[in-house]
Amino acid sequence: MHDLTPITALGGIEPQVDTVAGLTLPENPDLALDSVAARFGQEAGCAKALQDLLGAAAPGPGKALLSEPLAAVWSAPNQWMIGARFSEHEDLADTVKAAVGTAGSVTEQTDAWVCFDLIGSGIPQVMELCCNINTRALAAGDATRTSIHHLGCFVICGDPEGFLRLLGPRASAGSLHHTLHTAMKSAL
Amino acid sequence: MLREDGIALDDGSAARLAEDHFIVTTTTANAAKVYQHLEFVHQCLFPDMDVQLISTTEAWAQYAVAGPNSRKLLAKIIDPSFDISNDGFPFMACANITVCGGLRARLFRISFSGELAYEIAVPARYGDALMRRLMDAGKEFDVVPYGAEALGVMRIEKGHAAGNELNGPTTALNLGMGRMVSKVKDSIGSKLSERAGLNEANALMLVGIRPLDPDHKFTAGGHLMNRESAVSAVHDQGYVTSAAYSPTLNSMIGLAFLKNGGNRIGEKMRLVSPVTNLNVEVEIVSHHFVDPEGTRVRA
Repeated sequence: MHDLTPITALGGIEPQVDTVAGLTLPENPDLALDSVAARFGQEAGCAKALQDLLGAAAPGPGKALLSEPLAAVWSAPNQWMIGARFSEHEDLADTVKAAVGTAGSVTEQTDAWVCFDLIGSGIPQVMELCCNINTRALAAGDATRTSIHHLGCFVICGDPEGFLRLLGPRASAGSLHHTLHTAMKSAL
Repeated sequence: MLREDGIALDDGSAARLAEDHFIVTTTTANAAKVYQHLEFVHQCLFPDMDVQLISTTEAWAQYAVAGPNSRKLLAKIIDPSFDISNDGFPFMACANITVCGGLRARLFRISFSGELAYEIAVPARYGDALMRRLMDAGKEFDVVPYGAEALGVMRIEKGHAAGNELNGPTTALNLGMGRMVSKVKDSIGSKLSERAGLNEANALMLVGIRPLDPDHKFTAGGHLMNRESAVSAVHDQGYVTSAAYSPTLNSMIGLAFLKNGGNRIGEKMRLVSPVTNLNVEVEIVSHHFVDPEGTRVRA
């Protein structure tokens, strides 16, 4: 077991949590991510392997599969991002690769992203200051990519009544956090 | 990496970690452009190629570890089951490894500085801890962090081309890398790089320059003139792309493109810049100022 101490995307030992009015913005480092892309001619096999792994069909365009212990979000034709709790699945890439075998290419994406969750009330008012998504129309399991503060982000609706998950580029975590927190203070 | 027209698009590295797994690096500012280029080539030129592309730029914290004691330092953190001796991990090797008792990492033996050097990558959340561990483990070797300016001097001493030299009109030939473009195997840019206009006898070639008086200073941007010529654009022989003071050679040194430069080593010329009142005499030398045989990187 290695002895290196990780830090969060915002640079702390502990994740940062901000609350404005009824909305909380926790930084979430407990997320392992892997991309999987079907290989040429292996699309059906890869999809079947993922279905067996996830316990349900891999999501289609604009959708996420909100499931435990593994979840998934569609990222491109025949390409998905698989997610799980980092504390339980740090070796997620190995798990996914074992499942898809030569039907897909798998890369670790865990620390390419920062995860911010918006939990509580007022999410649409905040998000309409940040990006072009009609947050009010999102249903659980809707997911898309957009630009927030010039940063390419995934936006995943967990619960339209008060849970939105955002994935942004890790190296720009500070900028993304600043945008979200500022929007919260402006809107709420 | 060449454009379709044979002009250099980017310089980076390609590491093969497995039969079906490559890591490609680029000049930082070109990362998005190269990724876009790769996707264009895949989607539009070779859609039947079974290859998947994804960026992993931010997923890994990567550090260069350079200098005569770099192997010794790394041996203190790389787990003992991995052989990083010179025979076990020769120049230009790469591998998945583990460090500090089992953390997954990637090791590349490459050198931009010209020193015995490696680049070691860990998942980004562990980068801070790795750097602290390297600094602590390296105390016995007087380890110091080094930045872009030091690297800039070392790569000029070594003669490594960088963004200054990949400036838009330069080809592999201009950079002294013409033979790396295969005439047998097709590649993007190879055919048009053979155009007569890009292969004339007096084509610009990368050379080194040193002032005849070691106390003379110069910056990039100046133009090279024959000593007997009047100073004018009509007589322009080439231009300086990179310049730095070399503490190794106790002199300013520079990289320049010079017409027919490969056959003019030893020639004395004049470096001028009317805009900055620069006018010094220089000698044309090999652009590999330090360790031209590459003994350091292969140590």
